[in-house]
Amino acid sequence: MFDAKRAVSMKTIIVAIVLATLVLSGCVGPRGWPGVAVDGDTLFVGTMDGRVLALNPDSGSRIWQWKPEAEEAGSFLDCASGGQFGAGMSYGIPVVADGMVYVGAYNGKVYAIDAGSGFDVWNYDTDSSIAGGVAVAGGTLFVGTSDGELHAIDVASGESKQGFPFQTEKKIWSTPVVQDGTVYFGSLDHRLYAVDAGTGELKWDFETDGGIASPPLVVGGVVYVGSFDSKFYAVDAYTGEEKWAFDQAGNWFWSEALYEEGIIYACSLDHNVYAIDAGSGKLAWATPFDTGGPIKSSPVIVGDVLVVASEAGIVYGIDSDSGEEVWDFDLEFKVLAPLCASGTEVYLNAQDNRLYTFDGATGRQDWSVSLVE
Amino acid sequence: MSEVTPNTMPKFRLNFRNVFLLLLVVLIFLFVTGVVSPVSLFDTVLLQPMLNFLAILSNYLFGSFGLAIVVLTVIVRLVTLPLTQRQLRSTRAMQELQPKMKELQKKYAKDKERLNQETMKLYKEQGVNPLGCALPMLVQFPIWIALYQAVIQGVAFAPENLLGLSEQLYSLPLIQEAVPLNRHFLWFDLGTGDIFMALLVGASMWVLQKMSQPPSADPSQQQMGKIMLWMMPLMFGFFALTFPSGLSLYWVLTNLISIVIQYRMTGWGSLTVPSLSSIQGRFQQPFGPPAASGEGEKGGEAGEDGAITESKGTFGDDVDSHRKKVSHGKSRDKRKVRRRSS
Repeated sequence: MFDAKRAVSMKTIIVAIVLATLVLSGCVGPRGWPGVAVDGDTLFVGTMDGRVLALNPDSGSRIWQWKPEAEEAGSFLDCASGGQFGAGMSYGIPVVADGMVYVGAYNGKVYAIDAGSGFDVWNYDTDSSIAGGVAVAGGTLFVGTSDGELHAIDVASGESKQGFPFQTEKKIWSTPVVQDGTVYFGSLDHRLYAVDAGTGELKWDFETDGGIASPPLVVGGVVYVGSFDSKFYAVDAYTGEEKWAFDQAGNWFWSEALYEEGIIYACSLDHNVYAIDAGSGKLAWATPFDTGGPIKSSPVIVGDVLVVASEAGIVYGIDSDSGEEVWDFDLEFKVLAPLCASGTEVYLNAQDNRLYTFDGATGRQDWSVSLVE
Repeated sequence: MSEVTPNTMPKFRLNFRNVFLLLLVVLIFLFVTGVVSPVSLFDTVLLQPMLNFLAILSNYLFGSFGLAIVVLTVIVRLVTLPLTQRQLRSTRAMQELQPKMKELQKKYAKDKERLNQETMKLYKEQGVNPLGCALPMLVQFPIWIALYQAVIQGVAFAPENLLGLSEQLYSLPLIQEAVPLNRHFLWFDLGTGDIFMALLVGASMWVLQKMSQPPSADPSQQQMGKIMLWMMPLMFGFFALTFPSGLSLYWVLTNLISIVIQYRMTGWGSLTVPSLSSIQGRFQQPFGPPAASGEGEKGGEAGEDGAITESKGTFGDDVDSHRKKVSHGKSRDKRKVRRRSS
């Protein structure tokens, strides 16, 4: 028997349940894509929950573990600020310099950790969020924030340097690069900036038609950077003048490009790897290499093999001269973090919170280790 | 001469329900055979067009993503307005049938089969479809979900969201240039929670819940109604506090539009406005009690049902009865005649 009142109440309950499920399913909070760094005989890797681990590069055994203070952990429902992963998770590669490990975290803090003991020495709060990596040069650490500020921190004291922060109009999610006293970085305000590392004064800026989140690559007086306008640019490092623009991609560039023997290897979210002649800006391979999935992770080169991981989790070894596939394997997990190579060994921090290692020349998988606490 | 046999095949009528069911069957067939995946179909048909339209709107509306959300929400609610009206009409018609349903239940309490037959007959006579309130809502659900997803993806508060956005946007310069969408609107950041927006979400949802709740004499139904009246606003107010305010903006707007539609269709419903009703009462006093003064039809219904007493003397009743006289005069007259003859 159909009862209208009961039906209306049931309908309301169903709507409530559907909406609640819908709301919770929409909460794709930040998780991070922390990278890996090798320094001497230690491997430094960030985890999804904000810890930094020092591992033995041969076996993956833990040397030490550092984690942010307990009170910084977010709640499960705190969707906008990162939820349960909102503490110290990182979108950058740990940077090792002078016996210290530096990490920029999404909670807005930069941590300086002693590379030998794993104890933190200082932390610096940017009062924003950090969704890129840090760069250290000449005793100064540079980091961009979601407030559009480029901070410069004295690594000895952990204090802000005079003349900084440098303000842009939108988020700085691009990892800065320092060369010859100039900091190069992109901003989501569509511009590539060159700022004096000592004074914080603007040297020049170069405008594209899209946001810039990829870290610039500076080689031989030229800055190479990809943009959300699906173009890849070569810009004079001293004047900010455009040298060429490669416009054959069908989607954004987000990962850092790689330079090797006059060729730029740039990966796009349109699934393709492009080999571009650094001088002319023309395609160096006959056709781009299609990985079948968007590429967020930065590539590495081992001998003549270019190693690329697509977001879908398939890892490819590509002949760097011809653009032909050499090997591939499927990790079956998302890969967003930049790859790291040391000798022929490649380290990959996948989104399943596990570190994988494999031989870059042959694609033979070695060990993998869980990064869960 | 061959004998002409009557065609016994049921005739297919091209109405809303049949078209919906036909589409549903085709979709299920496509999903089961693996020709189309539900997620990619949803993304291609609904989510991507909405998301890209939001980006274009944002470009034209002074780069304001907040204004784009406002305009798109209004457009989507206007497009789905016929479905919303249909749903509200069906719900209302079902509520109006309650007195007769109760009579039938009493009359055929021991004969369930006859009760079902008579109920179906009543539905047919009154032109009411018991599924009429569910189908339009089912059709609107994917559209609302797409709008919701478009807002949350467009705000792109985390790098993962922006990365996901790259797969949904068309490669048109007009759209690509709009990324990242501007998150500042009025006093708040569309990408983070805002207490005032959370309060607005809760308050607007409470008003909508109160307006759309049918009056009931059944204590268990009343209890359920009270729980829902407070649970939904509190739950969504809490979500609004922890989620990007872009979503709160969408919820507040969609609630306000629903309130306007609900008001135009059914009046204030169970939402009593004490000050107005007391003013109304003062005006009615010299002419006798409210139930007897020009509220005959409604009063009669209340008497039959014994359930609509709560809505007496409310601001909504005046609007309601006035609308009935203007818009549904003929159909109401017919019902009165039938009631008398039975």
